[in-house]
Amino acid sequence: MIKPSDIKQLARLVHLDLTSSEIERLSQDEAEVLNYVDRLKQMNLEQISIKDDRPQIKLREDRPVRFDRAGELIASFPQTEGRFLKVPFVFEDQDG
Amino acid sequence: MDNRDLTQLSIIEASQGLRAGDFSARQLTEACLGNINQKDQELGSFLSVFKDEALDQAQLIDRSLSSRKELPPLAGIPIAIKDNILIHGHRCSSASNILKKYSAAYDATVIQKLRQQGAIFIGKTNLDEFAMGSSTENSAFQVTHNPHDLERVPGGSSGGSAAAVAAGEALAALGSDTGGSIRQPAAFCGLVGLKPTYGAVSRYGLMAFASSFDQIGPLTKTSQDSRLVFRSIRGQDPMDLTSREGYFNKKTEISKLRVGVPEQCFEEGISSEMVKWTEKTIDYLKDQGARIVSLDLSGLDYSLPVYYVVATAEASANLARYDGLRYGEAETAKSLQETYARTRSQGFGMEVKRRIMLGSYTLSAGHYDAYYQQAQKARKVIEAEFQKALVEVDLILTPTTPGLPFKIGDRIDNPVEMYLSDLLTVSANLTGLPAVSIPVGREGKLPVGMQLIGPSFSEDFLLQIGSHLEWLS
Repeated sequence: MIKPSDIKQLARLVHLDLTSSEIERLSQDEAEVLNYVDRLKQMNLEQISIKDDRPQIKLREDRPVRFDRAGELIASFPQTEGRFLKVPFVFEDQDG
Repeated sequence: MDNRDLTQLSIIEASQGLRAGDFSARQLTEACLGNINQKDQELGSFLSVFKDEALDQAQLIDRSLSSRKELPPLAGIPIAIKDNILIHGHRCSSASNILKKYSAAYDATVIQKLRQQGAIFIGKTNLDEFAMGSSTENSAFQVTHNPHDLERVPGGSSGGSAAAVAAGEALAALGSDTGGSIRQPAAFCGLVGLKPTYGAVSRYGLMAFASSFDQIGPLTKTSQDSRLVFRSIRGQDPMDLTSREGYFNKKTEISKLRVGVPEQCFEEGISSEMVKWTEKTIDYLKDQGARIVSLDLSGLDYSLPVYYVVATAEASANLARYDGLRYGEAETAKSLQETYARTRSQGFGMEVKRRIMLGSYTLSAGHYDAYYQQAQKARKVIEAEFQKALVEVDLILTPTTPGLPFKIGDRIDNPVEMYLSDLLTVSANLTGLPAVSIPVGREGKLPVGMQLIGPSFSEDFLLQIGSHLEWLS
């Protein structure tokens, strides 16, 4: 059973501010979905290995290539200062 | 000019008409735009329409046609694109407020390929936000209606693409399928919907929902059209390392076909109409000489729970990128944490929040073993079961959906009931196998779709068999 306090904690971890009515609704919805998903526990899977035995993907060489529309990416920045992307302080005590 | 309703033509018929000079690409495009103008207020298939660009493109194709240049088969064909696939310079919102003003800086690989073919992009279609839903009611912008009955849903999440083709607003459309999002709307709107083998089509430029399941595929009026579009978009792509080439050479005539039908197709949860149409399809196949084999796929009972654990876990990771820093809508606050939380809380709709929360819960310490790990193990068991079945039979037949298209508003407040719409489609995503929904007939005015699942890279084979099953009666 998933409690409203679990929902609050989880919301904090995934960066969602939920209203009290959203918390109430999600507690109920997630409980119903988990109740349905719980039938998975009936399967006896102790002997099954979790290891992925599919052929490994061959990764491409990690080397920079020129992207000639960088201006379009920069234009979509929500906040800029000069030609830089502007973001709030990463360490929150820096403004104090 | 031809007197036929050009928008009712298949791609193959339209392509022949263009070459014979019966009508021009401009006339064909204008006919689709006319339908959009006339019907889309009511249907809500499109989020954006590229009128001027489409007509300019049509004019270029007409010039090439008049100079008798050899053109690829999709040249001059108006195609609609689901709004989670990037077209350079156009808005791509995934039907989410968080991306409502986002403009794509590059083309998805499938778009580059269709461009090379001379296809005409007529507009971007509505979907459930980030492809999360089975009814196209979860869009942040509008609800799409089923052209066969406006009170009912067109299915989802590629509901805008399906409604557009069914209403003659485009001759074909691209959708994406993570758990049935091409096949279920195709079934609800009377179309052929193909979910290719995982890796057959590049996902580069498709907004990721659950990366180990997502595939792009066509929604078309006929199996032959589906094959044509699939052949134009498939292939290995250096930009998607999970894409690959594959071969399937077996040719089986319908008279020698071994068709597996899972026992679950006749059990509780499948409506009487779907059971009736499954039996009708079986009778037709038997009349043609095919052998029907009853399959006990016990893993099918667990497919949906496995899907909802793994897909939401992958979604919670994929959607972490929408944080209001580099693109999309941003609710900038004093601190970084507040910026993230405000942006995401205001940008995401309820279903997206529900899935991010569920995915994070099943991945979290204390629940990982019981849910995520258990689901991944069950996925392996289901995969092995399907592989084994496909040695015994040439293909597997099921209804595409457990029931007929439901009414708008009927399931939106009950997530589990909504998720059950995907009961018969998710297995193909869990196993990576190709699957197609074929329109076999009607119950009253509502279309009925049957699903064929086959071995990896057997799309051509499935569509060839599917062409015999279209509109059986």
